[in-house]
Amino acid sequence: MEELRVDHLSKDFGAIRVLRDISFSVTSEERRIVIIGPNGAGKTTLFNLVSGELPSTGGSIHLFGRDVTRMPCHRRTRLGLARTFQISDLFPHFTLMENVLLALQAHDSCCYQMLRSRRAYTHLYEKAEDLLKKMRLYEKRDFPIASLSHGETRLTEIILGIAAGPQILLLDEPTSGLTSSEGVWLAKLIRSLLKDITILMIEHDMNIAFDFADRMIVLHQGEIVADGRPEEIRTNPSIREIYLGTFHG
Amino acid sequence: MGNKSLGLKRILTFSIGAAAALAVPMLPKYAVTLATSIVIYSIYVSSANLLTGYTGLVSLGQAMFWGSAAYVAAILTTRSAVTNFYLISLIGLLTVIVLSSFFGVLALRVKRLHFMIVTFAFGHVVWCLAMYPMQHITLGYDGIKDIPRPTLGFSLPTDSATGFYYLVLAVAAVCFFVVHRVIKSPFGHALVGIRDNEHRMIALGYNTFVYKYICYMLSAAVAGISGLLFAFFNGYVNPAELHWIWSGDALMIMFIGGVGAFWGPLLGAIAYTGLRYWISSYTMYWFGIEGIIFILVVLFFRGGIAGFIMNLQRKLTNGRAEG
Amino acid sequence: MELPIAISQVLNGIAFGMLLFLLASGLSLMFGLMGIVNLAHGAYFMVGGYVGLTTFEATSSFLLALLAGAGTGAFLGFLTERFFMRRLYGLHGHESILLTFAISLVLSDLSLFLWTGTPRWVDPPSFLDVSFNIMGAFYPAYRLAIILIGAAVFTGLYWFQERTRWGAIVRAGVDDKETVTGLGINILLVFTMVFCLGAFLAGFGGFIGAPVLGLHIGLDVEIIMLALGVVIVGGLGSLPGCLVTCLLMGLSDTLGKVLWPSYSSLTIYLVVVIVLLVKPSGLFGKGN
Repeated sequence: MEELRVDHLSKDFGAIRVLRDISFSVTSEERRIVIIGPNGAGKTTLFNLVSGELPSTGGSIHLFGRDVTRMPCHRRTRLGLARTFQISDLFPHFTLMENVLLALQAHDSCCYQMLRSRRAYTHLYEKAEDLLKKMRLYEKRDFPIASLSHGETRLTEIILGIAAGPQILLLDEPTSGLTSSEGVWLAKLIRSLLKDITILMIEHDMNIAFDFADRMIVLHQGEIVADGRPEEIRTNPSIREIYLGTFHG
Repeated sequence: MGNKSLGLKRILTFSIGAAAALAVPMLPKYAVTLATSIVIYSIYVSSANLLTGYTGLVSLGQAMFWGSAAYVAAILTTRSAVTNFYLISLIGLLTVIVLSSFFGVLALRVKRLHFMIVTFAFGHVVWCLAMYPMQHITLGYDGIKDIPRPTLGFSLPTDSATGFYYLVLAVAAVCFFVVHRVIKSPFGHALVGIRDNEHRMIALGYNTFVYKYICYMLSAAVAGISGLLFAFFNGYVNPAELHWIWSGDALMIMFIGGVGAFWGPLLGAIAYTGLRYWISSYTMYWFGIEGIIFILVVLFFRGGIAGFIMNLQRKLTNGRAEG
Repeated sequence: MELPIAISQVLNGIAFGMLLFLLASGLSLMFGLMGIVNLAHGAYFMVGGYVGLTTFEATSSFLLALLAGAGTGAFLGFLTERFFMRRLYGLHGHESILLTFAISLVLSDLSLFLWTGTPRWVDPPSFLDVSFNIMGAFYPAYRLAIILIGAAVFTGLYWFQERTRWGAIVRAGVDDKETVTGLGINILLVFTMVFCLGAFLAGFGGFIGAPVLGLHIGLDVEIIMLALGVVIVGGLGSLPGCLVTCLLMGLSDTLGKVLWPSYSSLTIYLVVVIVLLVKPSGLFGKGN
């Protein structure tokens, strides 16, 4: 089943065309797609367009068969899409537990409840605890966000993304700011715990990227220059040139 | 937050409530009147606290709702035969909800600073309307005088200071109860989420506009109730009740009491009313002094009175744990 | 309306608009650069006027009084920025605004204490105490002088903003503070400078406007409301836009008071509200 389809998507910022003619689709058979490309290629902008944070200049986006090109960001989440951010975007005044509860509450029927205490909704607390246990952060559940290590905040970032049980998850550089061994650990964790979700991941670390991916999309200067299996990408000479070229330039 | 601390909070709330209900009416009349005004102001400021402290929407337009409801009470009681409190409250609330539903849709389209300026502009337009074009109804600059106390349908004598105090206390209890419930609910949790990181709330799937809109209308309703009570309390309403300076005052009192703290508005109202009463007996330069107090609070006591108390509490409990 | 009266009123509107510009230009720049709405700006205007008045009564020198008024404005601006606003940088914008609101309350009561609530007047300097015949209207030279001075200030500010290094730094700072700081420029110094310049102009405007508007308690509130309207409608960061909006506001306020005495304040703010809702960045502002 086709989960995500992007057709001739483009995005201009004033006179600058950041993304041009982006087309690809993702089916439920593919689980791990990694998007790579040099800085400024437009990867995060692509995520912003798919999640709805930014309006596109041209082209269309279909989620689970529905045209969501003009759909506001919060409604796309309800269709089964979720997204995390390269720079952790958490709720600084809440504890870890409260952060997760907020994420779980969004799609629960109680989200507009104004008169009953939120403690009455024990099912949310149970779900939150399950999630935290699964992601190995249960002991820190009452800690304020500020006291978590960087690796733990990156993990929390992912927890917020998966809380509502999405079918597609956009991970924007989940290993950003981590050491390479921490990054490898996180990628392994993602692979083992998030088996049933289709993941689109932006990644800079080539080892992690090639190890994680079933399929890779290479973005360069706003265009898709390659789209295929990791082995094909690895041996593609023009991809090497893009990366080696940027080292020299 | 353990059960012991929760129990302590409940005892404290109960004793304050008991003191307010039983001890205050035994004081001399001027004290009862002062207490009445404190309670009315605390309702007004808690409406601002809901909107600003908990949701992060800084509005310079709260006076619009206070004043509109006050005028509704004034006009109904002086121009028509209506004196029934429930009826007047209903009409006042309806007026305020209609106003806020209209202005809210427009104002919430813009963010932060622009929102503040838009609410200021809206509030000012309403003030201008009351001053000039609607003069035949509002009596413009002179204002409406001789507003009688409302009737309650049973024998509570609202003409007396004590009787009216009990009415105000009862209404305040209801308002504070509702606000408390909202803050503790999932809806309230979402409001604070919006305050701290609206961007992430949207990404999580919340329709933040709906939350802000409902909060805006609820805050307007609470402000309206307090304005209504004020009209009866003061017996006189003039356009100053709609002026943006009164909206600014609400924010200042809120800061002094402690932004985003549940008891902040009450503490702020007590400090403000007490200080104003005391200082005004020595000098007429109350506004300048209010300004100085506010500056000191913002620079040195950032959490307001509530924050100060919580810090103290934390220091005491830490001391006990270590000692 | 006959022609001479119409001409008088239009010129009055333009003169008033120029006075507004002296106030609004600083306000607009502050808002654009620091995201702060300085509600004390009206108080600088009023206090500058009062200090100028006292200096004029003591020395009979209009020029000295003008310098004293403008200097007072600059001094108050410096105090505000250095000791109050600076502590709040990086925090929520609304706390800064409330702080300036509190400062304006303090300044207002201080003025009440020092100069009492009686409205005061200043006579224009004798060499300008003449009238010119403009198409049948006898128009005071002093108000024409205000218009010329306003135009001169605009030209000076524009040149400063567009042609000098300091101006370039300020413009860059409006766009991107971090980069400017990264370039080794002391952005705090720039902030203080902008604050002082804006406050200087406010104090200047307060005294120069005194022969026209008079000086009374409450002037600060009246003038800041109009200036805020200008900043909102005129958009940010655009000096020509600010000038045009000031002239429009000045004209509508003056003509409004003549044609519909009761409603002038209302119409201005209705316009502000409508503009805000149609184009939140203002008539001349760049979109966010």
